Amino acid sequence: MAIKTLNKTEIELLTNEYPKLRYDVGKNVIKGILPFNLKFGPDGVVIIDQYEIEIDLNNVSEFGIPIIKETSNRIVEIAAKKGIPPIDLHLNSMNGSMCIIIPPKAKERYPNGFDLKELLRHIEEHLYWISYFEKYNKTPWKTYGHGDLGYLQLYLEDKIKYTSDFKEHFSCKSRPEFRRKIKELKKTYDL
Amino acid sequence: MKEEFSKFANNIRLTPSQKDDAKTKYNGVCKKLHTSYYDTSYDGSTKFLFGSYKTKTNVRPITENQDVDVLFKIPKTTYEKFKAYSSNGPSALLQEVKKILSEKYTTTDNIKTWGKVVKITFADKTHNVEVLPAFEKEDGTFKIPNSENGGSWENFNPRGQIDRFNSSNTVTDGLTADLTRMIKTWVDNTSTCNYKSYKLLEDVIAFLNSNFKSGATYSEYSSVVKSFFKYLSNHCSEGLKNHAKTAFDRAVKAYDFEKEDKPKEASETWRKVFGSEFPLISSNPAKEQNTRVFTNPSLPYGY
Repeated sequence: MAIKTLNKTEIELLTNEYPKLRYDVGKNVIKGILPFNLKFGPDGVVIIDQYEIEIDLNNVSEFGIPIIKETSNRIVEIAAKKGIPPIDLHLNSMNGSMCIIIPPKAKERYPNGFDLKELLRHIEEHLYWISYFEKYNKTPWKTYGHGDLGYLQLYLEDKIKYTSDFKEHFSCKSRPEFRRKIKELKKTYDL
Repeated sequence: MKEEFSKFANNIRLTPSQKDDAKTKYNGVCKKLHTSYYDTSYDGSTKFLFGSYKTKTNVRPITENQDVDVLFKIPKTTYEKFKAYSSNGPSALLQEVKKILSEKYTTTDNIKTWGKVVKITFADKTHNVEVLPAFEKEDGTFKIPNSENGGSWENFNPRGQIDRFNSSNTVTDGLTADLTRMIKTWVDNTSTCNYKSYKLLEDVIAFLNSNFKSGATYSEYSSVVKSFFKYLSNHCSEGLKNHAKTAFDRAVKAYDFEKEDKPKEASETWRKVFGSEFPLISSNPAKEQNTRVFTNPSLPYGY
């Protein structure tokens, strides 16, 4: 985890385009309300909503993703209302942060590392997913399974592209070990 | 609607001078009775406040229907004297209390007895006091007189609800009191809505026992109120159901307006629920952003 502080351009971006978000220089966190007005695809549903969030820039992953939390407990309440565990709405079971992307995909979305504008758009889309589920009891697009299952699904999505990510995640040091892991996971998850 | 709910919650709380006025009145009543029944000087220990003035869940604007409920603890000898009456000792006790109070509240104030209480209606019609002469038993519950149907002595335990309220209000960091006041304001603003304060408080406590258990911020109050009306619609008597459903529908509408960044319409809709104590927003902010269409979202993950 790395520490990232906002530069002048990034602070101006917040002031001009996200006036309900504030950058606390002392704590190095962005906090406040993130409103959005989004439509998924040209024929999709328009959702206008807002969430209270906190972006902790003291904990930014190697791929540019900081710890992001929804601070008014709304996602937890939606999960409770729907009778599902919060992890099914992609909240980290350890610290309650939002799991917005699987790390290998983060490399693709953030090729140059941390990108505030892209990150805020990403969070908006993630929260669109949550609001859509709250309203329609179904997801607007699929998700990766939790933990190891997500990595298996990623590998099966593009075996050439994600082989190295899979090997790295499961620390597979040899080809036979890699093949054994695939077989084991396929059996475990019945894929 | 964080600011608006914060202002609203404040608008419906009694002002310090209103609280002082109520205190002066109920202490005046109890002091007069104390002087008649005890040789000691009055220190408030023979007074037991209950109801909304105890839980501080009474609301502004003050109406003449909002009474201060207070018990006056009578000595054991007085209780035993009236209990020994062959016919309607409870009525005789209430008449005696009325007579004592008539010595102090003479010309413009009105004193009546009925049922279990003596009611003093003050000239300004506010913070009228309903005093129940009561004998405190060793277990902390009370024996109170009921003058109806020939007279009887009833058990009364106001401490039970007060304890439940205090416990809930502490855990929810004041939300229990705030929500109770907001719902009382809804009742006051809803003609023909008959929802007794005692039941209302029990419902709020039960609701918060399973929702918003640790309280809520003002920005969540719209969600709290909406959820409460939904809860009430499913848990109330037939007579209250239509009122609760109408309030729930309005709350959903107001909540949706808020989410759509239309605070003006949201405040107008909340006013239909709560009346003019809810702050009105005169215009909506300029649209911060138009609809953005996105096509290739990242898939959420979890671990």
